[in-house]
Amino acid sequence: MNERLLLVEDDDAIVDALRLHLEAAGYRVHRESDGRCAMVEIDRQHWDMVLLDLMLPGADGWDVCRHLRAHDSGIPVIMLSARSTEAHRVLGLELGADDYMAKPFSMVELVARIRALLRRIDQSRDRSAAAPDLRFGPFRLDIVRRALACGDRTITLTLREFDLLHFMARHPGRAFSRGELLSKVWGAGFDGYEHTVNSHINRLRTKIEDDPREPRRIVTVWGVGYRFEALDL
Amino acid sequence: MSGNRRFATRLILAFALLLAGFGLFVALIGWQVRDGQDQESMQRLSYGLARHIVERWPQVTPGQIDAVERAARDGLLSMLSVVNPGVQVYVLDAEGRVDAYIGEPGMVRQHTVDLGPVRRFLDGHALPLHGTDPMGSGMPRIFSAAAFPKRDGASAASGYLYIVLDGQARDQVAREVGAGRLWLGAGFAAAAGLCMTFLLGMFVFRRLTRPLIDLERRMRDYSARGSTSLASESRGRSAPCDEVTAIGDAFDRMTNRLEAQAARERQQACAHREMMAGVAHDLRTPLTALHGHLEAMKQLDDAPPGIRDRLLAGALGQSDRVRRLSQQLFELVSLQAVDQVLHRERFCLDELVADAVQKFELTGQPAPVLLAGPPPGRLELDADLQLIERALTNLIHNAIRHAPGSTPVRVTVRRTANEAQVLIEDSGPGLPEDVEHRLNEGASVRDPPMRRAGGGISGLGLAIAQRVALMHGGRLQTLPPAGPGTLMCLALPLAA
Repeated sequence: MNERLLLVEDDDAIVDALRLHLEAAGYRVHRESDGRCAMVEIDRQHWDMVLLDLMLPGADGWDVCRHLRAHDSGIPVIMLSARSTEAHRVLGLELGADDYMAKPFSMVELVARIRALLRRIDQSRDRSAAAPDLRFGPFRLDIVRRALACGDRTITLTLREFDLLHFMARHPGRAFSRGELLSKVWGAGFDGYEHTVNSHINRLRTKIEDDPREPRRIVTVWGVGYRFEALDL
Repeated sequence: MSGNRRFATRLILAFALLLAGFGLFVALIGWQVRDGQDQESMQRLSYGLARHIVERWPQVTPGQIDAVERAARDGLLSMLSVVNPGVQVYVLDAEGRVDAYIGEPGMVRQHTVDLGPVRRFLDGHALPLHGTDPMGSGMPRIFSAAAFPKRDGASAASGYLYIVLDGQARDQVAREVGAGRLWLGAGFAAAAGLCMTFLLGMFVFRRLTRPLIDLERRMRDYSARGSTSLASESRGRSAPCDEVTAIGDAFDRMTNRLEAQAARERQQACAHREMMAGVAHDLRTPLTALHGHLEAMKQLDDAPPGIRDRLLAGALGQSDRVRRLSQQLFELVSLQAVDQVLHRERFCLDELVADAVQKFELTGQPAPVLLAGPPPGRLELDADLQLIERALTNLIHNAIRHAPGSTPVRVTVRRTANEAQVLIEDSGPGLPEDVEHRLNEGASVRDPPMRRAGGGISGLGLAIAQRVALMHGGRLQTLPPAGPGTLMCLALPLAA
């Protein structure tokens, strides 16, 4: 495990602590404290993951993330921010970051999330090498290109939405609890994970349901969780 | 006060000036009207004079006449001038030239009289009619006129008898008599009028401006002392409902509002200080403990692993407390910000509640929280999912924290006419009375902050949940529980 992480953070104390934890976990860390320099680094070489602070000198985290997505949509991004109320914008379509940690956060939790995210990408890469496309209704889930198509139309999915849909579509008719989805899709095996699965399910519904207000593909099982219906699989 | 007196005096003076101007205007108009009326009545009165003379005294005739006839004519005309010295009698020929007159030689300067007005007079046009003054004053004069009989074979009159009724002699007399007396009378009347106006005005305007003077005094006192006692004093007096009273009332309302606002600001500042003191206390406690643990670790460098682990666990626990507290404070502050924006989206509350409950399930242990009751069906909200989830988590977390034991927290979801309700029931000791009171009154549980017996502030999680409910047009309240414990109800409006 020698993944290279680009850490874009201007606070030295946080960088020191993060470096201790990340290097102890076996990652190689390169630090940039300025948004513009981070963009140069992103263009210059390949990174396995980018840890990005939102408030930066030069260009802020939003700009860096947009630049990164324009350059290579496949690199996972974890946003670090002091503003806990920005999770929506960060995780939503606007930026499509893969995860979000609000300061103050636990470094152990961050390392666990980094590990989970990288493992999922590895696994899906391995699987996608041989896996055929998944079809349901008019949709086709292209595993290699990690994209969803409806006829000729390509539907943009975030990394997480793709994983969630891929997992559920592979297990039609089975109800999964929030915890199961977290561990299977997010790979998060720790307490206090704050993201709402429901929020991701809702976003996915707006993309694959004919009427998101009357969902027929991803339905709720009261008290249990969510189930993918094999309507026309 | 002197300023107001000056204002009243200015009003009186302005009023007197206006009155004087108006009087002058009326006098001028009256003069004009009276003059016109005088002239008309005089002309009407003497309308037939010329005709009468022509018909009665045939010796009055134009043209070539002998000396005897001339003497008779002049005698007659002189007599007329004696009888009425105000009139001037002229004999005109057919073209309007002055043929004969009585008076000083050379008195006639205008030798031709315009026959237009004369003909209109003879045709019976409306009076007064003005004609030429042969004495050359240039002033139009009222007159009486008559045509002399036509001569044999002539088509037009042989001439005209033209009598100026308000000749210069009359003007002269009128001027001598009128000017002094009139001006004296008018001046006396004007002075008396002005005095009366001034005295009455002093009285009336003083009365009228009294509310204004009161208002000015109240405003001055208010700015000097910052008190509205005078305002309420004078409000007791019955005053007419006019603009000044309205301004006075507005001033009272404004001062009351200012006082209320000042009181609120004082209260807020006090609450802010309390909050800061509470936050400082709450931060200081875990930080002291954290610092203590770290110091101990430094000193006990070669401590046995057991102690070291305990110290570490203690330090981590305290830093976690600081972390949670700062996060909650940050959330609450941003929720209380005026420009806080809700990221609304449509979602089902029943799903979110199920997710929130599952969040507390720990593998291998009995669940601390259970979903109870029948499935509520789809409860669609148009709300900020993240904030609602935060509110639910806080409420469930509070319930678990305050009611530890074997009885799990029960969460029920139900639908009423137009809202969804999440009921969280625990078997703990119940909420403090003041918190419960504030919740059910709809008052903020954070503002002003409530102090705990230990000195810190309390209820951050609850305050966040309450604020989220209010921001969505819902409410957070307690309901009477079936057994011991607390039954919290988070009610949120359903999507339209």
